[in-house]
Amino acid sequence: MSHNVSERVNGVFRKVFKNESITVNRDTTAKDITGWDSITHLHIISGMEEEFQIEITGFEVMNMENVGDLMDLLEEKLSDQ
Amino acid sequence: MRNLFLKWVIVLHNGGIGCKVPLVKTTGSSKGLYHYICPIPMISYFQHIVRHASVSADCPAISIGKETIHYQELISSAVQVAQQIDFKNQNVGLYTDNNLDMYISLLAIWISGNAYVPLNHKFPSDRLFKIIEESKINCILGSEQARKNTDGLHVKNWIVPEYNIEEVLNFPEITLSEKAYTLFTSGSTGVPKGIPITHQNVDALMMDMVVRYPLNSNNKVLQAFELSFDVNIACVLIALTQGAHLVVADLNGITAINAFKAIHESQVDFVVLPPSALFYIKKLRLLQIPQPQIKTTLFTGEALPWNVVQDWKTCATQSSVDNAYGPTEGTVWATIDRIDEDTEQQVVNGLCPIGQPLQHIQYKIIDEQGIPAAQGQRGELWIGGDQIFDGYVHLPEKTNEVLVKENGIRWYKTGDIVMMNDHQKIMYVNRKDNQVQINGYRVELGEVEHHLRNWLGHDAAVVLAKTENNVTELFAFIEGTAQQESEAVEALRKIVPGYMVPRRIFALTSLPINSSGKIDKSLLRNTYLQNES
Repeated sequence: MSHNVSERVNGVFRKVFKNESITVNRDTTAKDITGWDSITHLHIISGMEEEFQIEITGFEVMNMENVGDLMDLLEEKLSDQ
Repeated sequence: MRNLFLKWVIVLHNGGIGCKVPLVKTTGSSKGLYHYICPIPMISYFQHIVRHASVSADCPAISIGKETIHYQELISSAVQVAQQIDFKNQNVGLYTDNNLDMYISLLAIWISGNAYVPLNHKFPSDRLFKIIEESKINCILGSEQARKNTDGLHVKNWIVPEYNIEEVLNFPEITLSEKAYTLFTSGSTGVPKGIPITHQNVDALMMDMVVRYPLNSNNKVLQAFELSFDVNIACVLIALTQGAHLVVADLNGITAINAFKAIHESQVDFVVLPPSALFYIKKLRLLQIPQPQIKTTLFTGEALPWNVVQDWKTCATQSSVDNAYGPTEGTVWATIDRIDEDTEQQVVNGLCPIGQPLQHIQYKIIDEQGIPAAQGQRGELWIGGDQIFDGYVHLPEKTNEVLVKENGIRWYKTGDIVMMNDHQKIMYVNRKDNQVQINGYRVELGEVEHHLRNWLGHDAAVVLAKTENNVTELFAFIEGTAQQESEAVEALRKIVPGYMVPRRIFALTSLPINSSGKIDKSLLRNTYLQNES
């Protein structure tokens, strides 16, 4: 079941980067977006937690390689709810 | 690509200082014995690394991701690459893409009798050109891909490491007084400031390190720093001189997460981190993943808050914690403090003491009158001895400002205001000038202002640093239009490394002036930075 994850993830990225033209896809990583540093990463994670009303654990943060991993994780957590 | 089927095996004779290192050809039809004369006979740290090619031949030396190189292959590869460098006593650019070739090339540059200058691939080209110009680099070691991507940084002589060299030649001897590396830090005039460090400087540091942190092939040392930051070389040498295993974190992406991942997945037991990394590690709930295998932790690069130590102890439950302080001019670290049960009562302004000097460091605390400060009184920290550098590249006036020779001892005025506490430990208080530490890197606020003013075409620009939750960030104020806020950020990104780009630039119609006729920084801070995070 889709929860519009991709669209909502993009929404969080646009809000965090204060840039409406940002579009992320499954392959996007921190290397691909200028200014995606440690602080921004915190804002992205907390933005996702707020948007999807979930909690992301340390293990999950550690194993995220790209936006695709984040989307899969969010889908999984939403399905479990 | 490195030749995985080694043509050379290094065997050490006599094991002593200045010994010949024979390279025995083990494959192919002719079985010859070649001698590689270790070119740094007086330099014990390098001898120790070479020794491990024999005594720890099959032990892992460096791992990056899934790739691991063992000691014998590491040294053999470095010897081969060194033969591609047919000159001596020069600065060689080392393109830092944080792969195994980079570490092999680093050793190769030393073996060939040269000094390395890191060219960080994350820095804008403009900055790399300045570093190349200042250090008169006319040869770079790096991959073919990097050469193509950067157009060779306009340096004709670009050496791509090769590992198929059959002939092994002798290399020239190198003395302690020769340069090991030159690092460039932020300079307030807009030009990066070159700090050359000799083998003697490094040797003096390492004599303390190997006694303080005895390791062996069972130990794993974390590498979470870029080569352009001198803590990197300290981690390399602490590991490689003792036959330990250097585990390099992925330095692309979010370093704090990648560092923690390397610690966890490789079960690293010797960890060196900047205190600010803990803020992210804690916020991202990584501290909840216990790391009881960690035996030693060094926090360095920034002032160490007591709460960082407490947080870390909840994760690294079995680890000792040290606070290491030092300017690049004094070769990585000048003082170290072991955090113990007495530390909490010594905490001032939430910060831990920086401790006592290393074996080859002398120190004094000089007050505003130019005399030694009394116990408990503030003064500037001067450090002296064999770890102290000999002057900046092409900046004699700046050198004279900070270096003093007294009775044959070279003293460096650190610009750090400190005091001695009742436990005979040095406490860091603040900076004398406009310098801040961001992710461990030194940043002169004046340099960022300089570039902003150049871009604006007028002088109305000021940069402030804000530290919250142990993380320092820059904010700039300019006289200009709202549109210039983002344009200025973009312009700076092309000139300075990312850590020097302000988090936000505020454009005002005019900057407030205080009663002394200067830009009112307090008003700007109180008005605009209270709610910024």
